Amino acid sequence: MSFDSMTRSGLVFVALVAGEAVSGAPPSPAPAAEPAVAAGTAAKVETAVPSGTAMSVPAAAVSPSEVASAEAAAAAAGEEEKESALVPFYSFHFTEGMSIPSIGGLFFGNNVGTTIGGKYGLGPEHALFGAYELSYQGPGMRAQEGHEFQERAIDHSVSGGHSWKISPSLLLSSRVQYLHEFRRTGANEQFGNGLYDFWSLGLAERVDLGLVPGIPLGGGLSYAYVRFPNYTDLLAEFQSASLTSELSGGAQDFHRFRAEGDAGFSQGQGRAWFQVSMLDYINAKVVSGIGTAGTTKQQDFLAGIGGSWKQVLSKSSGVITAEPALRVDYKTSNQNFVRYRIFGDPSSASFIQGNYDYVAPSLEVPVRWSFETGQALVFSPAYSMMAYTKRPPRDPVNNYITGKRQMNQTVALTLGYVARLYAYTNWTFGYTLQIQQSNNKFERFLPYNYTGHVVYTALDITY
Amino acid sequence: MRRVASVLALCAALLAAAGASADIRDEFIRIGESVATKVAVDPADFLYDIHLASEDRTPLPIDKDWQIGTNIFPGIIPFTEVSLGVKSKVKGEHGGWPQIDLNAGGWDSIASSVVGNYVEDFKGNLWGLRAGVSGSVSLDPRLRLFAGYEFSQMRVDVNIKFKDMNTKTGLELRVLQALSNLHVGKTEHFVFTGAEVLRTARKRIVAEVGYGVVHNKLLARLTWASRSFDTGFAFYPEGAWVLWPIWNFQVRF
Repeated sequence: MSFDSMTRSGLVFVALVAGEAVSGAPPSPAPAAEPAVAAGTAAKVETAVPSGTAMSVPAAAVSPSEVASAEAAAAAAGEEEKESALVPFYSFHFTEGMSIPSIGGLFFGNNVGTTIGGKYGLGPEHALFGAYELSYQGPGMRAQEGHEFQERAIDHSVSGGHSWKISPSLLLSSRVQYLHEFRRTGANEQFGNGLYDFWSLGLAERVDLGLVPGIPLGGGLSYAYVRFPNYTDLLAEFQSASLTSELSGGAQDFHRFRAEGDAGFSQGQGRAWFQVSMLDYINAKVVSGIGTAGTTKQQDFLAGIGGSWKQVLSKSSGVITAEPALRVDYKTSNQNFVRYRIFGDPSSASFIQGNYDYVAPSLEVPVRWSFETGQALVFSPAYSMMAYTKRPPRDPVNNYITGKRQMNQTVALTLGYVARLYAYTNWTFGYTLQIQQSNNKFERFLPYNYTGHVVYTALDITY
Repeated sequence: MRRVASVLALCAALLAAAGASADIRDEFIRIGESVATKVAVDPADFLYDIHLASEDRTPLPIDKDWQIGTNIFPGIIPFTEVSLGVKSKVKGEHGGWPQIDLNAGGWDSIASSVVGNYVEDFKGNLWGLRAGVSGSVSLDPRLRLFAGYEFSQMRVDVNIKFKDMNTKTGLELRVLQALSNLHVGKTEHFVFTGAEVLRTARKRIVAEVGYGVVHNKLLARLTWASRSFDTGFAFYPEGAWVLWPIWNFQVRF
């Protein structure tokens, strides 16, 4: 899923803007770790929920270093700003991993990404910034459900904006972002012709306040138009083939509206945030019964709340820090679901109202032991749960189990070693154990219950 | 380089340990068959990956104006693709303006020419060429960024008469069929960006990511550059064979 790459876009954004941080406020990592920063899709938002434990190939051990790198870049940007009006940002990331799941075969996966961007100061109050990111996310084990191991995606992301320091304690940032994703969900798809390819164009406004020293506050509003040019409802096309071959085109397109806020405290040690989003589908109608499409258009509502705390545990031999993060996500949609056991046969169908509604808490506790040589050891246990509030689980032969609700749980344990190779260059080795369990036992198409091992290595260059 | 060797040794040890299990061995056999199938289905992409390995888009060192070089692996060894690449600095970095380099090169398959002269059942013609321009700027005494454009083209025409092909089945038959009458080519327009980090005064590590806009072709490359020999890896995430070691020889002056 390209959510990871979108998160990285957020990091770049923070790195670029942080040089403009309002006085008295440490560089706020607030939007960086959240999907709120970039435009997204319903699928993205849904699967992005357990992002704290989303492992795929670049395991959780990488994330803290990425955050640290972005923050370092931001700090460097702030220093550099005194000397030059142009502050560039660059990152390169490559991960190669071998995954051994308990179901399916062993496979190799890799992720590649690069970002190039910069901020150009127009005086003490105004600055322009922009960034381009290219990323590839290859095969990997995704946390939670909804994806095959062999899915892969290429993302192009371009963003640009303007920041205005209205007063020493008030910063206003405006941003435009365009994202184009090519996706391959199976071997029969080519990049550029994927059913789930999409592009999005979004606008975002953000305000950072530094009214109280050490307690930065921020908030923003954003809008994105998301279009899936190739998506179609194959069943509807099959049923209405005599009318038009693309009757159901555009069924995934939607407008997304989002509001978010965050606060830091204890000189940057702690952070709390919230976000609410509404996805307003342009064409998709609510399924009101078996074989019946209603007149109401689909609307999804998503909310999330979370917090983190960074604590130095020891400085006696190197620096040991822990940064536990907790988040809870909630989704409700007026869309329902009809499951056909036999393609197109209404007598084999089941109607599930509120199929997509869920609550998803997650907890991650990365612990990093950093040495003066630049080396670091990272241990990152993570847990996430996705509890559907109305969807019943299925048995191995695709029968719904009435009286129960589907619940998926993922535990990921990551151990990583980060070596400083050269200036700006880190090399990471890691291992992740992922245990995923669900009371849904129907796994003909997607895996729900498995244990996976991933051994990976990664190279990062960040300036 | 010692660290790189250590990394490779560690990876080899892990793979050897993994290979100790019969199940894992079966998995590697399955992966091998998958690679062979991909080659049979799209031989042009596989051959194009080898073609790309012979290319060198890294910027010239700031104190050099010309470079002439060739790709030893996987070009000459084992595919007998003899390549020649030339790079020239048009303008040095000065006054906030980037260094501009032009590069061009090409290769031809010696084996296809030689074998075709002596073996009646084989006719082959394989070649590739490229040309591009890049700009690079220093962000730091130890770091330069570069970006550029490259035109890249490859052509393969092969006819082979395999004996007893009618007795083959399955994957083996598909591979032989793919090679028996192969007329493929690829033309691509790449945009690329990367960074060069100085390790010592003469040694660099260069990371780059390129994107082919015609076929949505993605590549990444890591090069440990030294005075005469560059070693590295090329990654083609969607390729039949993802990871290619690279070894180049060049003279810079």
